[in-house]
Amino acid sequence: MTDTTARTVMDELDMGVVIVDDGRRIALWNTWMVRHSGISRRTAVGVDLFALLPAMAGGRVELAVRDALDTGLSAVISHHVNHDLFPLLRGDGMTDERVAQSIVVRPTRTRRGVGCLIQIYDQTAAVERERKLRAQRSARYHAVVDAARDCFITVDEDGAIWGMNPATEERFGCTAAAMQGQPITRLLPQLRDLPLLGDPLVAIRAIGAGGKEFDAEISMGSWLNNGVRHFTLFIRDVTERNMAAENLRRTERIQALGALTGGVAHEFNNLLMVIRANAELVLGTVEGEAAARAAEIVQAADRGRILTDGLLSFARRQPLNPVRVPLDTAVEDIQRLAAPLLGVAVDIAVAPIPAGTVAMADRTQLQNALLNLLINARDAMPDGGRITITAGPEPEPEQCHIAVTDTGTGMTPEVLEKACEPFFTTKDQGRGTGLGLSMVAGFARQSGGDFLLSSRPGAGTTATIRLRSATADAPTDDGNGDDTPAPTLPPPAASGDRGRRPGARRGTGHAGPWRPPRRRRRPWAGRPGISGGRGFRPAGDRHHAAPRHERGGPGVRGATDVSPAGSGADVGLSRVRHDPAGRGAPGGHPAQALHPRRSGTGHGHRPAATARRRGRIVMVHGSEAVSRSVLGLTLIGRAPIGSPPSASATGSVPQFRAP
Amino acid sequence: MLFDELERDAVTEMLNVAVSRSAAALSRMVGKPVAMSVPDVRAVSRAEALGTITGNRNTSLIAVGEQFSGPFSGRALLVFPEARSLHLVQAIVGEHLSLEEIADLEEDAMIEVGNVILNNCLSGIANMLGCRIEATLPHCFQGGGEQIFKRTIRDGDSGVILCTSIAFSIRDRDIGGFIILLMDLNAISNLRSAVARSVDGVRRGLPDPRNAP
Repeated sequence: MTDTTARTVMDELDMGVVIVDDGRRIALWNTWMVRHSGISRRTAVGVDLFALLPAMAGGRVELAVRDALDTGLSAVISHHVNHDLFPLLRGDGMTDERVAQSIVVRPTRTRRGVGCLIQIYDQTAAVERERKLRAQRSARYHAVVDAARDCFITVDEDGAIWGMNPATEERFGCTAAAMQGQPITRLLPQLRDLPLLGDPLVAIRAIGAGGKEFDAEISMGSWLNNGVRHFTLFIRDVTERNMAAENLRRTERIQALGALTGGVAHEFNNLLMVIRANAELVLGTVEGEAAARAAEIVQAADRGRILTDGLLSFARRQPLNPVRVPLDTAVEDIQRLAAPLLGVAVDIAVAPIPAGTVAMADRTQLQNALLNLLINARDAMPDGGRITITAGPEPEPEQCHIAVTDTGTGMTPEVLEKACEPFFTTKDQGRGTGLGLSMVAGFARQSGGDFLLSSRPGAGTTATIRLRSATADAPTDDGNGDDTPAPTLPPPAASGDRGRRPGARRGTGHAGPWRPPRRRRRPWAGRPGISGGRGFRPAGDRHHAAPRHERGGPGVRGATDVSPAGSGADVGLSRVRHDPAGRGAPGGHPAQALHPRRSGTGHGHRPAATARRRGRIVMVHGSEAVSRSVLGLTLIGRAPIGSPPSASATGSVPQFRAP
Repeated sequence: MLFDELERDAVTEMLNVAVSRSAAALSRMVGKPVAMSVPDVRAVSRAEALGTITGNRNTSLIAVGEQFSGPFSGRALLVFPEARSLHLVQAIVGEHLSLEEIADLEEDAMIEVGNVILNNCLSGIANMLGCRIEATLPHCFQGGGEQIFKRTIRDGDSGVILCTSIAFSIRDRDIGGFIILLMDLNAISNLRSAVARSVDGVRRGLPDPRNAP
């Protein structure tokens, strides 16, 4: 190949070719170089390359030329890494952008000896193509990742962060730029053990921006990039999901407990009634020591009944008799009923109740529930305070509420959470069964409403019963249960009630649509010499029972919790029904019978009656049944409003909705 | 012992000068200070060299290799764990690029970085020996240590392997790698005598690398 041919080929090449001699003087400057540098061959040839292009002096090309000339080394030089290569413009008539070049420098020989060959490749088109490909490739990725609410973090196998999406920046309060190259443990210290990287799913407690903790579920994907393993961490905040799951677990537990206790209580109740009835029969036929013992059996059975009633109420297996209950009169009644219980240190205030707020509920059970709440409120305020009752329609149609707020000690979130569980109490051993609030919640739900507690340590408690509003054509509790039997909710477990309704009706003839039987009543009533001879009044004899109501309730002050009236005699029940305003509701006398352990406080008689009193014991029972039922209450477990005060009051008032 | 202590120091010093010049070149490329150092040079067996570069872990490596020939011949390799190499590339090309972009540039950038470093080492050796060597264009190898060695430093190769670690510091990143020099026996004996001759020169001090062009 002649020199001419070689030069022609050089000039035809679609790349730059420059040859310099051992003095760095340009020996060859091909046409491509002329075209893109704007420097003619005449100007270039014979001139020191780095004098011609002073911007390149000291740069990478000069070093490579030196190595090639001095030592014989070759070099590749990439536009990716170097910014000061040949000042070449594309000159394609469209743009004046610089040529992205990759350069190969290698030693060669010239006629004068050692030389250096510089080859310059135009990479502009390739760069543009790569850029487009990359943009296409990453467009979908970024569309997904940047819009995601979950955190995406890419790390390499050493745990160094390579990238993160905006959700991550927000969640952890950092910027991708600042975190690039930093160890992932700065965000998630738990990933210190690198074996965790690569686990498909890791659940940890993470700390986000502002020190806010959250449950993080991290799923990891791993991928190879040019042989390097990378991990993409998808971090999801599952705090709410975990809370929901926990709530569900708690609800299921309470439901299971309810089913169990309800079933057991029901059967057990039946047995108690047999025991009691028989004990009363015995009582009517024996004297002395034996009678006292029989009386104790009767009392023990009554106490057992109180407990089972509480359980049934929690399990929502109490028969309900929903009627129209105007909340203003209901509150008025309960205020009067409760006044003696609350003591002088507790103020009670009632916010104005919008007229026409009428709930659809079992009046007696509602009164029980309210009384329970009032007693809890009282117990939460050992040094006195104020109870506020509010009631009115709810924002939701067909709903109304009645709420009891105290200024007492409040509850910690932990206590609040468990407050409606049966047998949970913060009161002293023996002062409550822990059934009060669970009953209230059970009643509210069974009535088609719900029950809410909100409380904060030191800031009091608000207990809200939400109920369905009564429709205009709903039955009215007009005091004549015989004539207008109210529609009832069917008992959930009909099996246990077989054949009992007739008994109930037999008892009083007006036991309401249906009630569990009160078989203990009057099995002996027809016997001469039993009731009359002992001077006790049958429980059903409300005319005799009534005067006792006037006595007021010094004894009831000792009562602590209230349970449904079901355990009382039907007469009491019907008395309530016959007195729509509940005005006949008295305090009653028999705290000691209701709550024997408290009777030592001087409010009544010892329940363990002696033979001297045995006749009266039955009386007590009878009047107790009356008064208790009239009150619509029996005394039962204590709910835990009175939890110890705590300094850890937080900003928001935790709420607990009874499951 | 292939080298005595003084000779080893001399070779180490020579390579330090070489990488300092590389650092100056890279620093100019990157526009940020780059520091590089070679703590010591050891003559090792192939297996030892392999164990050193893999850290006895099955990590993926990236290597840039050049073959040289002339009065002495052999092969020069610059080896990084691949994860580190991405950091190195990121440090060189800038923090603004994403992982994917960096991965795309990795080979180009590594070849160039390796080229700069290895050329400086080779020219240092050539200067010391007072001869010219011809070196090929650099190639990039990826894979496990054994895979890379299979294609570069073969079992049957006679010669001596000089192995040294090399520590980079770019943009507050510390990135460690290795330089492996395979030299034939002729090259090693030439090197030894050249080292012996230039020990005095070493003592007088080589030109300050910051003044190097």
